[in-house]
Amino acid sequence: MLLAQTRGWIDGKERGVEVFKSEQGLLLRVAGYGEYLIHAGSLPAGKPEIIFGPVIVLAQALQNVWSLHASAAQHGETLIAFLGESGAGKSTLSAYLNKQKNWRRAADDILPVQLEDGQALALPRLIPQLKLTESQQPAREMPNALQLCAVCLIQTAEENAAPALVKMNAAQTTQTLLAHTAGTRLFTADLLKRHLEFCAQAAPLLQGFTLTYPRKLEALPSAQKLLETLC
Amino acid sequence: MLTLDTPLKIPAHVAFSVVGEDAFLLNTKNAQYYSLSQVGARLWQLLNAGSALREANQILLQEYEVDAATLENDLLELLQDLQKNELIEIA
Repeated sequence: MLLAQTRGWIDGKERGVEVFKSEQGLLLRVAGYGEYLIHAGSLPAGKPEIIFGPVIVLAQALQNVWSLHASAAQHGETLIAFLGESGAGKSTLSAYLNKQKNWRRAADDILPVQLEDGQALALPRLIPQLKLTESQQPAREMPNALQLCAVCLIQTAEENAAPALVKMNAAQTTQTLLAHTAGTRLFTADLLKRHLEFCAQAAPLLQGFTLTYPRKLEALPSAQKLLETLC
Repeated sequence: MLTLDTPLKIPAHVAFSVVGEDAFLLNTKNAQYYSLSQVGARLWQLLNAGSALREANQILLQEYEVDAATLENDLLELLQDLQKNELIEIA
């Protein structure tokens, strides 16, 4: 059954993408590349970087799983996602926290999230973290689903400024989720509408913050202390 | 040129969601978002509920502490911007 037919910017070219639902999982047909079968716990052979990019994100979105362009770390029972522009320090922060007591990294670059029973659930095992090695994959030690408690938009402060954590309202959190979801360039009109609904419904369920600190390693312990006040 | 008597409609390609006192509009033709706060969001809700612009203007005058000329000017300026972004159109 054809779930979606769209066009998107994949691997440097605009390409047609078709997503089919089959008994085995999702079948992705990427014009100029071929067909890829995606199912739980299995990575497609061939050109995985194509699949792990926007196409697999599209396939998840069709099932109402939205991929935040975010790293994430868990402290105790609290899972926090870190969003920001490329180069903002998302990976650096989650890697740092992963080495600290009682913290563990849940995502490096992409965090799949869905709404279920009035909760925002992160699904860290759903999508491998491309920039991490096999042994670094956080999903290995993670449950299938974790409640996402907070999202922090990382912003860079002046070099000597103290790190700061400032609460966002629900509208600001919605704006942040809208701006930091991966793969939206492939979304059909219907998916764009569903994505907007997701962001508007998820934002009030989450604590949203801006986390501002200088881009230097020395600032990370102070940022960590601030984050631990959320836990 | 828009006036308070211009009949308006929300095009089918526009989706929106209200969060608190804000509204997020989505133009699905170009995947662009537009956010409205407070008065703008309330205006949108009124238009979406079927109010004519003049009627919506009257309701907003009652709900917010603003003088009539300022409100009319602000509403028409906002609506021109929404029209430019294909988020609203003349019926």
